Amino acid sequence: MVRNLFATEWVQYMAELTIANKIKMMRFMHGEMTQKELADQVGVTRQTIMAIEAAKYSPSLEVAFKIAAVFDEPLEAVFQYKSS
Amino acid sequence: MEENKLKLFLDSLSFRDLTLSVDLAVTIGILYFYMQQLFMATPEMRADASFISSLLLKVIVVSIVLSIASSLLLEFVSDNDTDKPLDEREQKIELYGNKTGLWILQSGVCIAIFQYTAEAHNFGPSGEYTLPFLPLHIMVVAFMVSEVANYGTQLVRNRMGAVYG
Repeated sequence: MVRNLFATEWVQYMAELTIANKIKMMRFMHGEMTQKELADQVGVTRQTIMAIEAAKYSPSLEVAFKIAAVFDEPLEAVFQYKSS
Repeated sequence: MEENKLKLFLDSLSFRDLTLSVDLAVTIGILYFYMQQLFMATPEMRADASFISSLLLKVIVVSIVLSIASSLLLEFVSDNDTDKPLDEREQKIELYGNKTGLWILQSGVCIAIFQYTAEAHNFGPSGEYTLPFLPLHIMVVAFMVSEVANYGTQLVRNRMGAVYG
């Protein structure tokens, strides 16, 4: 169990290092949309949008696509994978 | 200046943070109540099975009363937030908290089994210095500490933003 926990942590840690996003800039470009407004449209909490913006949390594909759809942009315009 | 800081802090609190804080406070309160009742009792009372039964019953009643009171309080202050399901990040944090709590609970059960076996075989100092019904107390305390760890972990992770690390 402990080994699985650390393995999960390592995967998430790597994800934090390699996935960047432009959500903050896109919110600004879309009529200075607030985090709360984006969160309501995506169906998550404001705290989750804050965590995604700060690259502390990597969203699921479903949430990532929903965020991109709100901005009417392709996924790769919002999220970028940086291979280390 | 201090008022602004307090306002910013309160604004940053989500309903989930508030729920977890209340649950954490309630669990710590119940743990304190149990420990206080146990340590205030005389050695004769601690050895009495009926005292232990009534103490456990009191703990259950206090837990139910506090749970109902905290649920009513949260319902009163919430803006229909109690009906909203957890989002994916909160679900992961809940899972992480449950894992932490489970780890502590498992440790407590193992310690209780060891204590019970040691007492039965008069192993080491267990027979001489033991508290009556010690394995039971270990399990009850482990259960409450695991709940405290569960809520505490979830609260910290929720505030930090990151699920892991």
